[in-house]
Amino acid sequence: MRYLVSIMLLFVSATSFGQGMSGSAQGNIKVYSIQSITVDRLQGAISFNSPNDYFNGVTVESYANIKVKSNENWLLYFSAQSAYFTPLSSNASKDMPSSVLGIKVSNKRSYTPLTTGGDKLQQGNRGSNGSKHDFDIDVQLDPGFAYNGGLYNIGVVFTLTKQ
Amino acid sequence: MNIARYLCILSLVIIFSSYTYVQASSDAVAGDISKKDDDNKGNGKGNGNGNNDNQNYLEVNVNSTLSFSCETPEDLENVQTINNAFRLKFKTKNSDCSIYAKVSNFTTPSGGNPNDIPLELQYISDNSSSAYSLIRTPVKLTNVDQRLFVQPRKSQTFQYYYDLRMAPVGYDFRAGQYSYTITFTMTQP
Repeated sequence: MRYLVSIMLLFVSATSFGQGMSGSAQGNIKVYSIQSITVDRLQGAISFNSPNDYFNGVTVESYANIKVKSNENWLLYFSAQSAYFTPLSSNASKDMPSSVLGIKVSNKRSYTPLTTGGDKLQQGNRGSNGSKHDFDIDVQLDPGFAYNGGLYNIGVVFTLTKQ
Repeated sequence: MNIARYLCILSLVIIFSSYTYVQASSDAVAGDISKKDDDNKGNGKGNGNGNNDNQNYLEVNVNSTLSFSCETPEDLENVQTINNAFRLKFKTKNSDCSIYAKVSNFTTPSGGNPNDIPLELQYISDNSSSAYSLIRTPVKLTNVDQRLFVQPRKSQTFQYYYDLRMAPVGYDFRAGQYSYTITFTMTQP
C-alpha cells in the first residue's frame, strides 16, 4: 500500500509538470547618448536709449529660456561666434569686442563675459525636468562710450556635451 | 510484492512519457516546424506540420527582428512599435487554457534599473470567437506573468497576433545596450 501511495504521488507530480507550455523570444534595445537643447523666448534687440544706459550698461533679465534634455550627465557652454560684434550700420564700430556682453543663469549672481574661448553656463544630471534643465538667462551689455552708435550683431553659440 | 514491483515500473513509464510530452512542446515552441513526429505518440509519425495535433500545444512565431533603437530625442519621447511582432499559435483540445506573458530576462547597462522595463504587448487580432478576458489595451510587461486572455477548449488551431511596443523611455533611461527575453506561457487549469 505504501508503494501505491508513492506511485500515485509521483504520477500527480508528473502530470502537473506537463500542464505548462512556454515559448520565448529575445530582443534588444539600443539607446544612444542623446542631448537636446532648446533656446526660446528671446527678447530681441537691446537698445541704448539714455545716457544712463551708457554709464551703467543695460541689463535684461530672463532674456531667453533654455531647456536641456539629456540621457547622460551634461555640461552646457556658451561662446561668441566671433571676437567682435558685426557692425550692421554704416557708422558702427568694427572693434567692439564680444566681451562687452555678459551672460548668466538667472538665479546666479555674476555675469561671465562672452568670449570665443567659451565658458560653462550650467551642468546637470541625466533627465529633462527640474530647474537645472529648464532655466532663464540674463544678459548685460556694457560697451561704455568707446564705440560709435549704430546697429550691431553677434552670434552666441551654446554647446551641450555629456560629462 | 510482484504487483508493487509492476506498479513501480508502470509509474516510471508514465513519468518518462510525461517528460517526453513536455520536451515535444518545447520543440514546437522553438519554431522548427519542419517534418517531425508531431502526433505526440513518439512513433516517428504524424502529419508533419510540426503541430502536436492531438494535444494542446503553444507555438510562438516571431515575425521580425525584435530590436529597438533610440537615436534621436523623438525616439526617447514617443512610442516605437514593431508591427505583427508575435503570432501565438496554439491548440486547446484537451482543456481550457490561459496565455500569459512576462519578461523573463532583462539586462541593462551598468547602473540601469532592471525593473524599468519599457516593453508592451498590443493585441491586434485573432481567429477565435470564444476567448474571454482578452486584454485589448497595451499590456506593460514586467518580470511577473500577466494573463493576456483565456481560451476555452476547442479542437481548432488558434492564432493570436500582437505588436511589440516600446513605451517612451525618456531621458532618465540610461544610454547603452539592453537585451530582453519575453516568455509566453500557456497553462491549463
